[in-house]
Amino acid sequence: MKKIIVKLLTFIIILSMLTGCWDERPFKNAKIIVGVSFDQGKNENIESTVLIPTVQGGGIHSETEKLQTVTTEANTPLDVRNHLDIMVSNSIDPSKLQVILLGEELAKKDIYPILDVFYRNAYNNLNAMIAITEGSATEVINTQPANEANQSKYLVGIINAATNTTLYSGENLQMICAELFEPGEDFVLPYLSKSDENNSVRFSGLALFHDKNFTGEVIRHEDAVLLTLMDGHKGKQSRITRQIPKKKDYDVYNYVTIDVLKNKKDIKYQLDQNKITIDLNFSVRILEYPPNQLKEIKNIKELTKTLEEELTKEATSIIKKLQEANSDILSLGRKAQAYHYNEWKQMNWEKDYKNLEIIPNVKVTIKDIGIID
Amino acid sequence: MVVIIALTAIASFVVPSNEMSNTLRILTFPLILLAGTFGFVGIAIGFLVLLIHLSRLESLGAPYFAPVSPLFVKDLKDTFLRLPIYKLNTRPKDVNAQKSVIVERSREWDDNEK
Amino acid sequence: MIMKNNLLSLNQFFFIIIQTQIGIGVISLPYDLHQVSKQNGWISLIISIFLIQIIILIFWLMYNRFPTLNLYDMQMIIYGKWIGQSINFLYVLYFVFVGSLILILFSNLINLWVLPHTPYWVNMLFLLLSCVYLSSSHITVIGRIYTFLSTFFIILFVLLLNAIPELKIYYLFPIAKEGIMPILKGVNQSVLALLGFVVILFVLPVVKGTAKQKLKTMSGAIWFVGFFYLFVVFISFTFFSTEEIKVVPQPVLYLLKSFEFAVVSRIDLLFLTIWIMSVATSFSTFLYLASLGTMQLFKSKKRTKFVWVNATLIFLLVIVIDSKLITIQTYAKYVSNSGYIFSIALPILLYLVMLLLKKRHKEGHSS
Repeated sequence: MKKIIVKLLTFIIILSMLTGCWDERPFKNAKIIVGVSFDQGKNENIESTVLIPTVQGGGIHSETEKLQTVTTEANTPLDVRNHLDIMVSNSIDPSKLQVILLGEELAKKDIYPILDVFYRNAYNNLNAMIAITEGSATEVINTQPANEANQSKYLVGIINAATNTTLYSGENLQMICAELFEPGEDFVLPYLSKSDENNSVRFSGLALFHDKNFTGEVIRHEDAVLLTLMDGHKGKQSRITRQIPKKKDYDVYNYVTIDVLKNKKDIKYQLDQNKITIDLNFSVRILEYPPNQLKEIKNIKELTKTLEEELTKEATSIIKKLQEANSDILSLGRKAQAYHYNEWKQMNWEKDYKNLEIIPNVKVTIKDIGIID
Repeated sequence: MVVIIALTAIASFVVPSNEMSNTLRILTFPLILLAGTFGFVGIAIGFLVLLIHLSRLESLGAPYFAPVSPLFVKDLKDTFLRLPIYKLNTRPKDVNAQKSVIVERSREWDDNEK
Repeated sequence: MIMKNNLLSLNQFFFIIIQTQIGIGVISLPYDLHQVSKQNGWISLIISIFLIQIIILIFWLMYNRFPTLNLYDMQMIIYGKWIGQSINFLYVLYFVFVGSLILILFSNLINLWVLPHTPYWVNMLFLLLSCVYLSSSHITVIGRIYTFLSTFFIILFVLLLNAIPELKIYYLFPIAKEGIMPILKGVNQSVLALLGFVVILFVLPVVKGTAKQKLKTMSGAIWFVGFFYLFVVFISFTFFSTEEIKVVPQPVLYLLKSFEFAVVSRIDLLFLTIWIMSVATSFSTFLYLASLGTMQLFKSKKRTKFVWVNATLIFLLVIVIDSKLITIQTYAKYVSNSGYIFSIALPILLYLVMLLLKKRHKEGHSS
């Protein structure tokens, strides 16, 4: 009995080895794509460009990485892949995807059908960054500055740099998914545009979304830091440069740059009066203040006051813009549902959000003025 | 790939004796096959079987994996770390020693000082 | 001395319970809970832990009446030969069905996430064979392996901690606004995920220690599992929004997929590997219990043989089920719901009969 079982077992094990591997996906048989862009095509379809890196040389000579770009039109993102498969050698493998660009036109429609395939397939990389482009995405993805070898790394680098300086919250494909689905909560995506001088791409702001579509409104990159801070994210640095009341004729004197060290947010709802107060507490460090004389408490107080006024004014205008776009970046709706369910239920948030009176209130505490006064 | 080979080469120096490294070499082949056919899942199952086998082993009634599983917290003092000798005054639990405490002084230098 | 070695220590007992309970369910538990009770699923989980604590207390009282017998033996003594044997047979069947359900769900998940082209029965066979090896060993060895594998829970825990910066607590609110009913329905789901505690009744007699110590260990194990589940549910509820989790059947894996470490880029695969181990452990517990039952039925002493028999049975069952006689969902529903009968109803009935007949260990010999 035992011998038979042992024989049988050996037989089965050897058999399974004879078959080889079912799920082998060797690198040599695949074309990895590292970046992809989607645009509105001409006939109600999608125009897509992919970046395929190929390594040349190697061995004794140093390796050079070259990117091949292929553009095609198709009906769905996966259909794009079918079209591409017949255009390139080997098959397309998106599991190392780093960046997805969506053209403005396309993003104004529903973006979920484009992203569905990335969420659905277990092999896909959910760490990929996603961005909206001004005008055509194909153009942006094809932009290659002279000193950058790899467009996808370049684009990811731009977004990462924006994340480090608090221009963007750094949310990847997966992180936006929660806000994509949830009603009463919206998200922003980086808005990239091509600048024609020196052939480069720049981060020009945050694209506001409502539900699953791009609203068309963009928060300028000067205000992006404040919006990201209001949303509760903070990168390594968060520098804000603002004008202060005129002190000297030479204009460079009349600015202060601060770095926000800590931000605290407190939202107070008075939904029966259609009123929401957002208290923001920033602890800041002065990075640049040419007029000096910060030794005196009077001056610090004055500066604090100016900053508070300036930032509150700005926050108000940002919120106005959010309301105009009907884009609830600060998740006010979902939080109202969570903590003030009864009042929330009586409202129609979708419509009432625009008419709410949302009052931001920025408090600044100067914690650090640097090593000189 | 380079990283993996480097890691393997360095890891091979961990094994103290030649016999043990032979054992490991033999054990590697089925694991390579499993990893080749089933990837990560294969490795997991391979290690599971290896673990079961090791846990089933008993030498003279003492479990092979003794202080770790079955867990004897008190015996761990001589497993991953080695505490000072005067702390090592109990015999391992898994061998079912008749006297669990070592009675003689383990600090031999105490005698020398006299 | 030899006797002492054949008994489980309290530690091993603890780990056997938690390894049996934490298994296939942990990956989809948040999704299942959310399906019925929305963001209030965690409340139902806590309620169900309390329920199970009570049931365990009953198990312990049963054990106190017959400290040397497992459930199979108890049933033989209380119900008599014929009824006892037939109920034991049902138990064996139940364990076989649960085993096959675990195998099916396991191979489905592996097919979905890691190896889409590998035939399902190959995945299954590999797990089955290693589990046969595991469960054909002595119960103390099983205890040892479970103890060792439990160290992996720390890794699972640490992996899940990665998600903490991304959590949004307000997804848990509003609390209980949909009324009490969904929460109670959620209790059903979470009890199903916690099933497997029936192993206590079979293992209790071979654990060394006083009755009180055993009770403490049992409850400790249940609460450990409860809190682990609670942690998983909490993390996935706050990471995914209330709308998103509806479309993500394996939230835990999906959550880990969006993170990346310097060397390991697919953390979900790492998690899956560790999870395979805990599936293997809970599967082999059921295989062990089934083989214990068949041993009792055929009055044999060779357990290893019956492990093989049961494993073959399970394998054939899976092949039959997978040939689309019945969909996996309905099969899963039937099997997990029958868990109520076998892990709660029948033991409680047995206890009531015990009370009625006033049977205790000493009288047990005369009947």
